[in-house]
Amino acid sequence: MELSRGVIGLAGGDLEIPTVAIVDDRSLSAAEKLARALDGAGLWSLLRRVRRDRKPADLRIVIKPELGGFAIGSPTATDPRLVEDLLDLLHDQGFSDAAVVGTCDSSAAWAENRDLHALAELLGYRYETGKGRAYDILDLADDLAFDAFPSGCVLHGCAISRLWLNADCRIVFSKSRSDEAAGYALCLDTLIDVLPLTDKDSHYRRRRDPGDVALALHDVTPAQFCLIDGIVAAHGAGGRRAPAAIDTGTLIATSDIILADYVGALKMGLDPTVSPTFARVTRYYPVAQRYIIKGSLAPWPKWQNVAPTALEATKLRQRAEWLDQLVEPWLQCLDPELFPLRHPLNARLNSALAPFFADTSNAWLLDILNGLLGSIGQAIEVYRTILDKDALRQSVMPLGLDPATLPHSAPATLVEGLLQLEPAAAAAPRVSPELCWRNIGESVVFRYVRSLPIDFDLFTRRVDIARTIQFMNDYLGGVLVVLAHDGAGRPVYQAERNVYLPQPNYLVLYQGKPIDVSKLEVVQYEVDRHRLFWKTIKSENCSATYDDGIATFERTPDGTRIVFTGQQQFTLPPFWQVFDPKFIPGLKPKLVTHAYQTFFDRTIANLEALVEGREIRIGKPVDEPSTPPIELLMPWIQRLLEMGAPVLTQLAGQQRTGGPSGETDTDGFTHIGPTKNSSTDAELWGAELSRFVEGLNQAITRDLMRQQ
Amino acid sequence: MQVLVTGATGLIGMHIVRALVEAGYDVRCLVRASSRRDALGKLPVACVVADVTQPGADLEAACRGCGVVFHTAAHFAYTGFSTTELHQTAVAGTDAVLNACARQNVRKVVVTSSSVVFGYTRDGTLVHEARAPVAASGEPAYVTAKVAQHRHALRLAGQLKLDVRLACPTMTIGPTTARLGPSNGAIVSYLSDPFGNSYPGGCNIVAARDVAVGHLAIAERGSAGESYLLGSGNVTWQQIHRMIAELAGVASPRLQLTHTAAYLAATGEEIRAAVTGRTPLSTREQAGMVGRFYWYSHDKATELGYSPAPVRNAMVETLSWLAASPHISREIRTRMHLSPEIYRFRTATETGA
Repeated sequence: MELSRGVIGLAGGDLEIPTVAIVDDRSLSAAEKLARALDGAGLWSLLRRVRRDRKPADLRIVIKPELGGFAIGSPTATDPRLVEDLLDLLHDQGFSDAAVVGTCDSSAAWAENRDLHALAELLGYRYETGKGRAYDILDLADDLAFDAFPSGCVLHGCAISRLWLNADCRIVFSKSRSDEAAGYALCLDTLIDVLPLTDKDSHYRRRRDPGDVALALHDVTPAQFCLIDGIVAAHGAGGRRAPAAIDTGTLIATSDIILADYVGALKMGLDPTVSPTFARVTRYYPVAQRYIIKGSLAPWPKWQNVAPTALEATKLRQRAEWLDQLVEPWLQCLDPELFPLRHPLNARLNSALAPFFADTSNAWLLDILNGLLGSIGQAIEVYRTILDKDALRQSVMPLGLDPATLPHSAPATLVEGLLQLEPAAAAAPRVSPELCWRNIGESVVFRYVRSLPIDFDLFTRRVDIARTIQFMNDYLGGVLVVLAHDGAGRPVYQAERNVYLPQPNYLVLYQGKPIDVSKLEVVQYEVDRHRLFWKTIKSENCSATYDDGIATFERTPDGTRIVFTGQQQFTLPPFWQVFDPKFIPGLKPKLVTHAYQTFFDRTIANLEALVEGREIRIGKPVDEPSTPPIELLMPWIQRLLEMGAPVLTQLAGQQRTGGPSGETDTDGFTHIGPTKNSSTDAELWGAELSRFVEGLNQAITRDLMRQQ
Repeated sequence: MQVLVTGATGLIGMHIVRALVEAGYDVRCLVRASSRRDALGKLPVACVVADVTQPGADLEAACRGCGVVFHTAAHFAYTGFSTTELHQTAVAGTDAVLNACARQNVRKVVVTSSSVVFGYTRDGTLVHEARAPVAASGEPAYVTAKVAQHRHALRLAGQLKLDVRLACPTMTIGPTTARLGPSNGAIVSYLSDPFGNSYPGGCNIVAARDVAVGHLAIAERGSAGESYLLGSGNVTWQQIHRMIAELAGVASPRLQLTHTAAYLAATGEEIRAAVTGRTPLSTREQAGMVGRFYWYSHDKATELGYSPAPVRNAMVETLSWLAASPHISREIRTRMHLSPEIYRFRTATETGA
């Protein structure tokens, strides 16, 4: 079992063989299908187990329906009548403390009426069931707990609703939907939406791996029962963006969320692992070996899925967070009467683009657009990696390894093994006053030594030696879990996962991957020497074969001596694997020397900066809220138009015609007051140009005079 | 003795306040309502809120009972302020302060002018106070504003029968909590320049703490109506950049820009700043100053006991502060490797040695 998984909740599958009920009997009404599905999947026996000695009315049950609809009767949202029927069935069994729960999603940033209660009302929730029972719709963004997720978990430190956390039974009532990025969106996707931040796409799907997020939720607050409303489902190449309704007449129920998605995907005729979220979760929670299927697993006839090219193109676009956020309101098919777009420019673009791209004959154009946006996004990431690291987004991920499975002797063995590196590294050829290195196999064994005129006690007070790995150059993020402390409360044994930018940074130009390694670490504290030993256990993205080493901090008469000894072997991008620089005499040693010298010079600078009390982390915090792209874009467009207006006016030979001064028009552009005459701006431009030419002329003259 | 310092939160003003406190003066600081007062820390000083460009009761109340007024308030900038704003603060500000001093019978006023009022040379000849303060055409607005201030202060001193002395600091560097300013900015510009460009010409560099001590010397031992250059070492830009490179552990200058290249680079920098909304690291006005030698003699101040530290010491102190300050970005700091001299300075400062 993985450490990061924590305590598995009361998933039905833990106690008995899970059953999946697939009810598609056309002779039954929707309510009857629901009743049969609940019976078939064992909800009542599950609730009996959960209830134990308590009365049914004492059980707190929360139901999370899918609310991602953009029109009345949308096939992408769970049918409210079915949710109300579920409430009635629960009440009939005595489970009267049941509520519907939900939160806003990312669309609330760009469309009106997307707050929970307005949305629920518009989608058809009536706060009263068909049998006249009143129910609540509760917001999962209220009353939050911040300590639910353990260290080592991707959501550690993130909030979650106490209502969801403390419920006796959590039911996810998802919708059967095709999805442009993941192939399909079912219960795991709906589960992610229980998290409270509004911009869920950014916080839980782009900046974190949605698979990790779903995994963390499944660990800490699992859904005990799952339903998939496929009675009228959303299929088609447009996914949730441009859903097409299809009457499958099917309802799926089970106590196992993984089985729910597995069966749901099979019914769509898909390989379930096409969804990265499902694929990620099932690496840790494989599909149950034994389960019972009540119903047919045959795919729904006439069901259409998203084309593989569209899947890849959308994934590419989604990696470019800012651009993806920008175009999302333009492409989403919606009812503008119910959900008017907040920004007039978005509204205009949406009315033109959404219907155009909803037409499947234009799908190839959307693929090209997505590919183009994705490529621009990649180019921006490359630029930031090399020239503007503070604009990158920091990484957060789970630990990804389970130290509990390691033998008790692991720390001692680790130290012993790493000490073997020292003689080979110390005797390696010296390439600079600080650095010596040699190759052993394909790996580099190195030693880098620097002395800082900083008092050792001051240094170790200001620099937490146990976190040395995080202070290294280009550390983008990660997680550290302390496994053992010494008598003074200092960490002595710990597990860590870290992500660095590709090293050297220019490898990003060749599709070089970030270095993602999970390590075990031992920290030793002596009066005059502190040491950190680290050994790589695995690399999630196969970016490293070796990344092992020792960081030594020693007291010297002049201050502190720092020694990094290590062995590293990183996976090169395909280009460099094909055009191996070792075949060009002298090139590879120069590249290696430059890479190591730069990396450790900058690491030492980080340590100096820490002593000065500076912040050294690159990138923006992962949960830092972002301004809606359209708001960032408008001043730029405005400025460009202002700059271009005089030229256009001149070209048109007429005065500018705009709205009154300072007023914002229906497209969101602010009109600057009319100029007295059309030539004023042009004159200013001319004067500026003349000033530039005059200055340039003077500079050239001075250069010529200097040469004479 | 009660003294007033205008512009007390600026680079020079802040150091004058500290020097005055150390010398045992009873210090009153004139600050604007919007000024950051953390520069004054826990110093035993009184703060009076007033604006030097607004003559009136507030300003006169601030001057009341003062034996000496140190008038340092002015904008020192080559960008971000219009010519009118620069002149308004420099000339109208001085006018208001001197008039307030005259009305409140302040005995002495030390006005902080600038070495640039005495001009420059093309061949490195030292400039003295004997030169007439004249601004040639095409000079940056800051220079013309300071020349106008200098001349106006002397003219008004005669009219008001005030004892006015003019302190003319050269390129003053050192720690500050105020805006970075062009002098410290020149150091940050070199640290930010990935190409390690230098340029012809040179300037005189002095530590802010020495300039402050120089102001006291002028107040205590100077003569009415006299100007005193407060500088230290005369160095070329190549030497300055090499010194920064040595002390900060960055690359030494690789290239000496021509006038044309400096002008084009500054144009590019101004465009970048306009697009990003940031302050440009250099301007075309500054590029126009490339190749000149702003080298000065401070012999006259030396006669008053003025004894500045060498340029290198000033640079060590400034870089020690800059490296740990927000004026240096994380990325630039990552490229720096501070020399042992800076660490020795830090240790000495921390231990009070």
